[in-house]
Amino acid sequence: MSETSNETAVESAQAGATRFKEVFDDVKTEVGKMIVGQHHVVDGVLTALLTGGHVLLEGVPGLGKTMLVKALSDAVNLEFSRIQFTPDMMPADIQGTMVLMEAESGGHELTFQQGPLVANLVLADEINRATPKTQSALLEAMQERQITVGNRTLALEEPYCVMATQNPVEQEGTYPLPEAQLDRFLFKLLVGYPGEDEYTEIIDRTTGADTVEISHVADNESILELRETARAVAVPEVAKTYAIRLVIATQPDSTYAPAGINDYVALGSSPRGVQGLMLAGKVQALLNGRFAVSTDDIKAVVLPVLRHRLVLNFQAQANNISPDELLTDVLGSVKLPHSVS
Amino acid sequence: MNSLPTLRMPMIDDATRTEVKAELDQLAARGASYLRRFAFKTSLEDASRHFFAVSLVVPSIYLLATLASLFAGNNYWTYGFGWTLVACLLVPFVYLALATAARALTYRHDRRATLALFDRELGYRDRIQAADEFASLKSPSLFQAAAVSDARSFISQAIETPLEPIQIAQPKLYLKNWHQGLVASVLLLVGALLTGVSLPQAAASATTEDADDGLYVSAAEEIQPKETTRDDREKDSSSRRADEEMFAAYVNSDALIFVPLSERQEDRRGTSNSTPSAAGASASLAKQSQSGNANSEASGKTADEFKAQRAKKPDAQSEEKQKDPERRDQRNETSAGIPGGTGASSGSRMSASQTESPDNKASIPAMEDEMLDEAEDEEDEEQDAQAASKPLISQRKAPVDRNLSPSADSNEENEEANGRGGPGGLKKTRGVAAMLLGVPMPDQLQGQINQGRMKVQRERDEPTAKDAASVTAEFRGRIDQSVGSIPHHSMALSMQQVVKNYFLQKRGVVNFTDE
Repeated sequence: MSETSNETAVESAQAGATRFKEVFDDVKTEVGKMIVGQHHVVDGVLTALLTGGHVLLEGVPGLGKTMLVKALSDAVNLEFSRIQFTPDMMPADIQGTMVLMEAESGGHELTFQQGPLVANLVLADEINRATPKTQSALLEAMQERQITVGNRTLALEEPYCVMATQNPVEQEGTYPLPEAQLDRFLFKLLVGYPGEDEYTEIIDRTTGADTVEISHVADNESILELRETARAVAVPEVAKTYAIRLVIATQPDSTYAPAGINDYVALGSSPRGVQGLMLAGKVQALLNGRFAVSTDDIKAVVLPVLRHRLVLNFQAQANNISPDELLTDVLGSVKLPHSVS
Repeated sequence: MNSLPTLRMPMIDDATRTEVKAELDQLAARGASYLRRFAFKTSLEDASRHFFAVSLVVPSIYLLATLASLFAGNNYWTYGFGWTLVACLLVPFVYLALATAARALTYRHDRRATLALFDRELGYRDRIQAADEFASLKSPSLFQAAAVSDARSFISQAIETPLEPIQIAQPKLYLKNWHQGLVASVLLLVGALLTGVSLPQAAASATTEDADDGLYVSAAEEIQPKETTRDDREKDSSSRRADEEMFAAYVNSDALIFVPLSERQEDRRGTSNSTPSAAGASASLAKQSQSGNANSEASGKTADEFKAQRAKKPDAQSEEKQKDPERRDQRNETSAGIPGGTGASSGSRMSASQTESPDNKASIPAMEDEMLDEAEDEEDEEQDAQAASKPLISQRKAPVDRNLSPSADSNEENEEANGRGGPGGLKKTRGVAAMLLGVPMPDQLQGQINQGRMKVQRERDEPTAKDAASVTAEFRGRIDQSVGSIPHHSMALSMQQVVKNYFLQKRGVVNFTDE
């Protein structure tokens, strides 16, 4: 291979990385027209979309969770559907069902009427209000990207992304998400209150006469292409080892588990955790202008990727220990590979 | 949109790969020397942690050897104090040097660790490690090749940038370990002082302590050095005899008996079937108690027997108390050296009474009596407490079944079941029993809340008439407004029928209902 071809290849990779960052920034700018602040949430949602993951947004009402997802769907020009989960909702309400329809010939026939789950970007609003039966209807769609009703299986079109919201305060009449479903979310993002300056911006934007219009800066194809770029990012052995150690450290009584994990965690992260760390780390590397994942990229995404994968025991709940505290402990205790100190 | 080239095609040419590898080797060599120095520093620090602990070794051995020499009579430490002092000072430093050298020499560095050093120290975010890994691949992917290319500038920069030098300071002697050095000095000093003690005296004292009966083996004589004169030996033997007398008194003090050694020797020689007290008069304190018990057995009631009787016959306590004056007299006698005591007093007390003046002799038995009475009172209290905490077996009652419904065996209701889950008076306030509405649950708070202090004051007062305007009912007028809802209590249907029948009968109308 000649020097020229090497340079061409590098230039090509650099072009892909540059394109990725440009689209990412454009979408973020468009979403920023609607959402004030919440940069880490917007970054997380976009990262999940570009890696093929799903997002769980948790925050009290009024922080713009639903608006964020709607704005994102407008910016990336994807087919959007919203499901407001209620306790009396049934799986058929979201997946679709067979409906008796009048045929052109004059007779009747059963046809499949698809539910709101069939879309590119699905907003599952207040997901924890649905019963476990209905929540379970999401499992197949989130993991296998297909839904099965009766003997009919419908493949969902890519890009497919479920963005669910839940309110951590109102626990009455809600059904906590089962571990199997929580594990399917790439990120759990905590939406917090805006800062003082951001309140001023919110007032100006939302109570004035001007209306905000979000333009489409990406589409299905570009999103899929960016996903391919993200997945092509190189992963050195040091980053792999570090991600693996972090995930193992979340499992009680494991080699790298610190005392906090042994004391307060009933169930650690599954292998999906390390997959999530790596995919999110790749996006971080691209956004930081690198072609290979570093341990710093892994560190940056540990909290949103792993916080919902820890099942805390009674002691942790009684002592008001949060998963974030335990993960910070893990980050402090797990040494970087090949470190000498 | 730029489409990405096909992955897994060779992206790094050989020349580039060779150049990168050479640069990385250079970096790795620099990193290795850096890590060796680092290993030396950490080894030195680790070894210095145990510096003072190691300084304890020689003084400890010295002290042990000195003690062993004193007791065994052989000289186990042949070195002089000067050499000992030198060894004490030298050994920690030798340890420091050897431990540091051993760890530093056995340290093996990894190439990845040496390169990671530059990544971490210079903040290159694992670029150099990634380049080292990807450059050795035969067919790197597009991004792997790009990562190598991206890292080249960082590698060049790393070669030119010196790492922060490792400061190998003097070994840090931790203040918290200084007490170990102090202990080492004390051990050395004690050992030196003990070396100055003459062996015969020590051996004699050791023999006195180690004697296991009234007869002394002449071990002291065996240990005694040959230079001692005959007079000294006589002195020693006379003093030893005095010690023996004292020792015999000490041994038998539990029984409050003073047995002269001559008698004890006769007992031992003549009667092998004598009471165990004679045989049990050993030097150990455990044997003292045994012998004391045995002697008291021979003389009368033992303390254990007395306790057992008290436990069995609580009613007999009053009788025993009546006998107390007699027993006190007995104790007074025994404390004065007369056989037949209860064996409850300690040996030290007895030995003291032997040497006390007559005035003291009178006061000590009184103290003993007080102590004995206190001990008895405490025993009574303990027994009472144990009796209160342990219910009688005969009073035990099987817990009542919680199940209110008819059992599987019979359809009859469980009459004894009250949902209380046990023989206690109150229904449980939690669990299934608490949820059963049919079972009343008494209020846990009985009585009323204290209303506080009340004061009632009555005064006499004559009623006085007051004028009041009379109102005629006609002038009251009528109410124009709504009077509101007037409660109307509807009667039960049966009562309505009764009223209806009454009025119909009164009017002479036939009561259809009755018909």
